[in-house]
Amino acid sequence: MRITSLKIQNFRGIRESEITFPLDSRLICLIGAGDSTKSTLLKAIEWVFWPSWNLVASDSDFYCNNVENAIVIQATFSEFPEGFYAEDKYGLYLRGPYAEFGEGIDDEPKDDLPCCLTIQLTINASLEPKWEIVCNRLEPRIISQNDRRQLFVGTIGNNVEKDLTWGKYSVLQKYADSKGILHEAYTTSLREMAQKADLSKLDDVSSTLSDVGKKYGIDFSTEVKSRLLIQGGSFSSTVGLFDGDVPLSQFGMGSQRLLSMGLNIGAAAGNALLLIDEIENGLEPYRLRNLINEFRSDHSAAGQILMTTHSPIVVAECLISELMVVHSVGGTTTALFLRGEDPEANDTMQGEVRRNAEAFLSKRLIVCEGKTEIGFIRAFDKHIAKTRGYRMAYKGVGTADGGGSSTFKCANVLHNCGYDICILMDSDKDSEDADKQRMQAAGVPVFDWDKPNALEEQCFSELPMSAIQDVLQLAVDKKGADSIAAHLDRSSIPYQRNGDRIALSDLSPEQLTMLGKTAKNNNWYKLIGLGEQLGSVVFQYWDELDAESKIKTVVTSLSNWVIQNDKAGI
Amino acid sequence: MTKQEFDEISAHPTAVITAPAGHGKTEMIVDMVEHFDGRQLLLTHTHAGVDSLQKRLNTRKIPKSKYAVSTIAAFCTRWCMSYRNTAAIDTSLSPYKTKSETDQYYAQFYTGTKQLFQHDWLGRVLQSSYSGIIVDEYQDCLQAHHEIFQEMGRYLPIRVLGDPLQGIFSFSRQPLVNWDDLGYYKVEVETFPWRWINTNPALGQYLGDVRRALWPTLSGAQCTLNVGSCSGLVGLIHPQRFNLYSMLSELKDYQSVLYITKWEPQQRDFCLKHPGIFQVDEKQECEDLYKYAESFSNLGGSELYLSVLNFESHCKTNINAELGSYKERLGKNSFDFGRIKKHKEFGELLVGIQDCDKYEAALQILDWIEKTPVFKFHRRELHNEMIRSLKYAKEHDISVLEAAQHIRKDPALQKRYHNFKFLSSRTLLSKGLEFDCVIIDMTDPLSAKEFYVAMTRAMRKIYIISPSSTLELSP
Repeated sequence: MRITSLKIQNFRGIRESEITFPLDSRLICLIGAGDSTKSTLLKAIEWVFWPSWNLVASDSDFYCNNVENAIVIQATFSEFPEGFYAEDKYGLYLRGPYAEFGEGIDDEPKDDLPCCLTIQLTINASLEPKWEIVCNRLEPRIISQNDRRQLFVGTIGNNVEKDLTWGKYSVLQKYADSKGILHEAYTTSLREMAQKADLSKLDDVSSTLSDVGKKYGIDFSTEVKSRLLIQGGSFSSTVGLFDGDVPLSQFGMGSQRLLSMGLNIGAAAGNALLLIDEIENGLEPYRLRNLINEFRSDHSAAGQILMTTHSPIVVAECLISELMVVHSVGGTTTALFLRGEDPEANDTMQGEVRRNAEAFLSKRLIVCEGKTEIGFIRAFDKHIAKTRGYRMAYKGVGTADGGGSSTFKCANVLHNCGYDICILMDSDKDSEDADKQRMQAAGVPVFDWDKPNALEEQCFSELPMSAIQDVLQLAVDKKGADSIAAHLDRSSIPYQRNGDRIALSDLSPEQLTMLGKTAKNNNWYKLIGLGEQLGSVVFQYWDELDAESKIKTVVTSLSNWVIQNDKAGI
Repeated sequence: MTKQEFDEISAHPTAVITAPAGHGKTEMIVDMVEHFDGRQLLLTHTHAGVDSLQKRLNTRKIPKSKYAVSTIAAFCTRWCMSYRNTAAIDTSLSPYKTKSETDQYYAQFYTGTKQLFQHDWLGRVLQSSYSGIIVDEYQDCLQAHHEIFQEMGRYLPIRVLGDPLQGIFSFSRQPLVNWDDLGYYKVEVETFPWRWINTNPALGQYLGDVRRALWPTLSGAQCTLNVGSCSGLVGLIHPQRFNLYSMLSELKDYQSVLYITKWEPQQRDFCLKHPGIFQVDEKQECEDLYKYAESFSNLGGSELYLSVLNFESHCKTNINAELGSYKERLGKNSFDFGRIKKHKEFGELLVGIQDCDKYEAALQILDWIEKTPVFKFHRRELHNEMIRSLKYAKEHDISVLEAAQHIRKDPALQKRYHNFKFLSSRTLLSKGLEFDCVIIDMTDPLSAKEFYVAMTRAMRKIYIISPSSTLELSP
């Protein structure tokens, strides 16, 4: 089973969404900031393939609580059971993997593409769900729960313990059904038990349960009793899986989730569509990396895994052909590929993903030219936390390292993937002016300094002398007084040395410019930590800075970009 | 069928079985459905064929999971409409307009289906649906049908049954399949004339002799058949001595009597000569129905009423003699019927219906004529079909012509009129049907195939109208 495209209307936070999945990758990782409706996408897929009749929908499942507009979820999928090809099943409903909807539009399969079916879930104000197989040529055909059950869709969410007990919707049922015997044995023995066993002894547990309930605030409406339930065709019971004497449902969250994934994949002999929300839950980085690599090799020929993540480790582990960036704007959810047509851009992107995975998890990004800028933005973040009471993250803003010369390529890719970005960079290279103008024209603000300054040069030219002294001391602390003194000597800048301390006398503007150049050329601050300390000094002297100074005007503009409300949705 | 026969069929991906009329072909098909694993796709040409297969399957209590039965046309239409781009179907064509467009409309489903099964993904659908294909009456297949089955044969075993001596079906004069060049493995199956076992076993045996005598005509030879030597089974009547009324006392004992002739005008003349007894078996493309339906659609008032009367004069006798005066007045656009003595109430009816919806008015005239015993039907089917067309037109708010096209051409709306006790027909129309007694008019000789089909319609008795007991039959 694999999904090739998904269309959603009026489901929870999604007013509309149309997403296509690649045919050359069976592992898909959905990334994007919080509230980008990633998890809703997985939920929609879970619902459209729901294996029983009793899907409980409520008004709050409708977009904006408006039940007037029906929930419609359409999933086009391939690699379904062979029996579905029969003429009296869905054999006349086959479609292409990316077929659009609408009478008269050609949605028939083509020889070189996989044959697909489209399942449609409709829920209107009556809250009665209806599942149908649809195509553009024929009247929809209802798909029974028996048929839906043959589609192996596993969900690894937060209630994985269900997969480790013999419950009705446990993945274990798929094993029992496929082997038959276990089911038979269970029903027979449970019936016998139900007849012979004296269950009153089990009721001893109810007082204990009641005590536990009181302790943890769980209110039972009646006295708890133990009963064996045997229902037509299937069965529910309280029988669980044990490792020795330890029930698996008491294992750690990560272990439970891993077991559940394994069971779900195994249930369909590798042909399962597995939905994993927040794959990193409960897993250490090494287990996570291992898992993703396992998935990739397990699913090279069958099945599909759709997962969401907030973890940069997962992002960094993924190929760009596996990453889709999810954005939600005004109820419209889009999922864009990080991979494009241009191989060179793809290489840049893959590099970005490895180097800068965290950036891809934000909604908005400040693309920084280098490490100094990243550090500077950290200090800036603390500054707005102090003045405004919230951090940049509250506005969905993160940082991306442009890597110096590749800053524009990086910015381009992120911009094309739907991220809202701005660029913070130096003004020391005239050759970059054209690119800056192009980005501005595309709606990407570029924040830079007076020509021909880099960040540190701008600081030395505009900060008060006492601040300059502090900034210099940062370099001295890091590189040692000897090496800084040597740099200053080479640039003929006057100073007094007292042991490990270097004190500057009043310098002329020309000498300050020379000081800035010296700092830049000798890489005094080209580390994130130093950049941050440099920024701290700037914000420490913030009130003393001239309102017209470049540092103050640039930082204020940047600040305005960060706190803007329109795209942040806050 | 014997185990040996099943084994021989199973051992080959294709099989063709030649079985004469009435020799248990339907039973063989049911045997195969029962014997082979999985689900068989059963295809034949006509709805009558589907019905008789379905009936036999029900009698034998074969579960639905073992078969699906359909006409070739319905099967092709369903698949093509499901994949109309792949089949290159022109959906702007209508089956309800001109004859040539109708032909084009249906022909595209055959070329389309052939195209469908050139795609392996549709072969997969076929293989998931069925484990084999059985086609009945294969002799009636056009070359275009045969090409479809050759394509389908790439995916599933295909078994066909038929009788080349009955191959006279012909849509639009396209070539029928060449029985000797099907490219299928030939299986000899033991047969027996089951159809006559309870009615007239000797006739069954005799028809076997006739068949052997006619067989060489398939390869183009002339054939001479003497029908004088089998008194009791076949009655020979000289055309000049033929008198239906003198035969009626005998014919009345039969459940059903079929008169078969070569040409359409003779088919009608025979009914006209014996009003109220024989009814014309109308062909599916019923031109008289369309002609008057068009006229009803275009006319109103006195012109319409006149046209209805003209129409009825095709269906019933005595119209002009009894209602001539009314026709005369209507022809002058006059409703002054005061001085007409005959059928006063008809004059009142004509005056009374002037405010009615025009189709309702036409229906009332048809109804009055139907109920008046002085008129005798010879084209009851034509009359009934016009009533159905008018009602369908009213119900769906379309013209009578469109309605007539629908009820004649849409398989879901088609009605069959073979239950008349005395039916006047032609071989093409009477294929697949059975009658107690058959009167074959050989004054204009039928071809060998036509003659064989006509003969094998009879369950008990055959009369041949011919000047000589020696019949010269050509291919």
